[in-house]
Amino acid sequence: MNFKRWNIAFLGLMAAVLVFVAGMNYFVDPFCYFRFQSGDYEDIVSIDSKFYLRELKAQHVKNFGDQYDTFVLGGSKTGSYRNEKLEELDGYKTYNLFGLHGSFYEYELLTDFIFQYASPKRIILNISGSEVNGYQWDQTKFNNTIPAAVTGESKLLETVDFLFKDVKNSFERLDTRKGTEGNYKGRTGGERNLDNYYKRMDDDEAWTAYTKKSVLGSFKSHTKSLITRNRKSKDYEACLQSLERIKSVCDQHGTELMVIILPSFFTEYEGYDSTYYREFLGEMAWITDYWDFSGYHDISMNPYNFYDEMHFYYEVGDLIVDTINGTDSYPGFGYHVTRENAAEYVKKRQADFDELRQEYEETGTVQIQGLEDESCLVRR
Amino acid sequence: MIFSSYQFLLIFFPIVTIVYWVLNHFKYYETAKLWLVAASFYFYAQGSPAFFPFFLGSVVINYVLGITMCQLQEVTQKGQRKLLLALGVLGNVGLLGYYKYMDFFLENVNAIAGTEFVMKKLALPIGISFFTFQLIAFLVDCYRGQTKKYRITEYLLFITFFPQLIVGPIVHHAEITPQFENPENRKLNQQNIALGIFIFAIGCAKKMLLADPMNNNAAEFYNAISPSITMWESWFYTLEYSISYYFDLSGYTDMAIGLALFYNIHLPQNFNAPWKAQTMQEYWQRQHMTLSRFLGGYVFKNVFRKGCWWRNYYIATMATFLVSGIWHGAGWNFIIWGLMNGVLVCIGAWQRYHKKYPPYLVGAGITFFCIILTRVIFVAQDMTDTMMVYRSMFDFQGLFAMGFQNFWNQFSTFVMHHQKLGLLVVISLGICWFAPTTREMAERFKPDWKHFVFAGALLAICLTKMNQVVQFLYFQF
Repeated sequence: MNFKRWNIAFLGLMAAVLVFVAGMNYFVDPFCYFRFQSGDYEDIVSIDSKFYLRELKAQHVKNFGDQYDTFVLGGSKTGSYRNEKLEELDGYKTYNLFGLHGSFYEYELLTDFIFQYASPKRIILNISGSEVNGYQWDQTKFNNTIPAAVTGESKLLETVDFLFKDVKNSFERLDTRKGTEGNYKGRTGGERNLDNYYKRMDDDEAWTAYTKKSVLGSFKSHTKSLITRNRKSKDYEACLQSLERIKSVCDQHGTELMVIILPSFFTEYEGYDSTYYREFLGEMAWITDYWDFSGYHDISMNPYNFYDEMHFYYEVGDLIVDTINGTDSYPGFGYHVTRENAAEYVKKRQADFDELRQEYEETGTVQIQGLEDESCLVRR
Repeated sequence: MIFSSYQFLLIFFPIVTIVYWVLNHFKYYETAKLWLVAASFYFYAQGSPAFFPFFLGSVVINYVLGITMCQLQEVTQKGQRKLLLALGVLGNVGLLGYYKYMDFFLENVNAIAGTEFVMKKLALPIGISFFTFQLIAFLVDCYRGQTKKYRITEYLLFITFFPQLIVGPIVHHAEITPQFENPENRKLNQQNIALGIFIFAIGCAKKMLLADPMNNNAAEFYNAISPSITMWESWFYTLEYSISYYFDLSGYTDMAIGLALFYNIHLPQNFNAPWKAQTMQEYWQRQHMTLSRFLGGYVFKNVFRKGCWWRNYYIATMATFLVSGIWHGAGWNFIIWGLMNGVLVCIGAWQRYHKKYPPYLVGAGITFFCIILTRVIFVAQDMTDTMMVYRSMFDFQGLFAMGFQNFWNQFSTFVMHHQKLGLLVVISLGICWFAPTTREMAERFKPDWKHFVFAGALLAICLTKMNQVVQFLYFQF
């Protein structure tokens, strides 16, 4: 064999390997990227968190966006709303666009994207809190990246990327198809399906064990960190500016922007809550009014309202909607922050935190709520 | 954009190479070079878009300074030449210092003066440590009168030629520019391409099949050091990290050498089986050779003074390794790492001078342990973590106290949980110690079925998993 033939044969072999990889990725479609292109839930058998759900949602808005009046934006916590509950607010048909690990950068892009394909009456922007740590996350996992349809980047490159994913994923997907379809099913309104978490509640003992592991697993270290560290992000200003732009786009289209800060189990606040964050909350009110459901109240101190440290059950989402709607409430849960009361609210948040810190310093821990308490909304 | 990615291999590289050879075929030699420069700039801009304007500015300013120095008379205008050199070196070091060492500097100022400067947390522009060295070398050689008056395209190709731009090998202008000027190299060479494919396949496999899995595993350990770590874990993960660092950079170098061959450019060798070294002095003659060459030529030579040869040799060695430590990263751990290596190299030099070598296996074994022990301080996040790892590595008291049964249980459980990676470590060590180097394999390369199957299998496996891009470890330097 001479060098030229060797080179040609080698390139031929590599081309064959690439065709094989692309073929597997296209036909097995381990992330459902190709199947999600229609954006039609009718075409989809099951929805798994391993799939590229952001693409499904982007395509759904592109193809069916005009059917909705309200779009819900936010990170993973936002998935725990029930659309039928949100529709109780005023009967608007709702689509939930939550995505894991959301950021202000993405919310901004999504707002522009929605207005390209729909004419919503309302946008509900849900803030988890952790967004302040990075205006634009450096996304490494494929299902956390923002689709090209939303960013305006090259669709061709994105398609090439999915054609050449590690072929191991295709084999794993084929293997999974033999068994069950994964343990996380989505819903057609874009929300999360929490059925599997609810199954654990059939038995109090199993639920308690699960809660101890998944919600309280880092209780000591996170409580200590929350009390002792005063985190400061370099991105507060960028996030505020982003919110301002979102508000401005909504105003231009005559669309109502409703902003909600979502609760989590209080130890999760260790990732962002600080005097600086509380100041950030105060400054947010100068851009738009908002509802704050985070903070140190009974609901966020009860681990049984959460299926992990960050995420609440449907009942908490229901109470958020009811509180906004004025049909139900829980003491201390939900504060409507406006320019007028922002300073007072920041003081209140600070006082709540100081009280918690004092308790921690005196006792070495923090008293939390339990399964039998009134604050356990799931049992209410 | 890294070499072992589809974006590079399927889009960037084929387009750049085909256009380059088409232009050469029609005898548009200068345009072909400009094309390669433009492609290299694009390659850089993809990795560090925010820094790109500074990179471009720095490259042009260095050229202007260098060429001006070349034009000034060596004797009568020495003062001006010196001033330009000082300006150039300060500018390059300043840029590197700002991006790489600012937070380290502020941290220390805060600690000493009790100030509260907020850390800048600047993203380190890729390759800045590497091309800064090349730019300084160019300026110093212009000052010394060892540089031709290069035309801007020749100079730009030497600095920006994409295979070596980000992580080296650190090249000298005298070894790159004549190759681009050589008329023989303007013809497509099938032999070089075949050899380039072969070397690239080996490099890709080193990176993707050996370095990445070990690196991911060891990084998890080093990101969560706690007082409860066991002796096995400390030794195993540090060994894993040490090997993965070697295969990562060595793999990158192989890929760079392979890619450069597509353009008939021979890049210098960067590794020569460093794990076979008998002393740490020999180790640094075999490991990251182009860095050692640069530090030797531009730091050691400038520090070394005539007089008591050995005393001055030790001082110059320590100074060189101090610079090496600082170059590798911003942190006290890197400085200590550099000094530790300096001491070990001085010991090696002393052994060589007095011809007091232990038997080869003993020497190689000691060097092996030195490599691993110095790696701890290199990869641990701070000194607390470093000390915890060292303590657990030598916690013989705890080992004896646990009794044989517990010892055996702990050991066998560890082995059970680390079967796959343990096997990979063993295979990797086998390659480090017993396999021929890439250069030796390249020298024996023939266009036959044996080499076809070998390179084809390596690259085919890599291609099936190329979507999981893991950055090169040296991208952070």
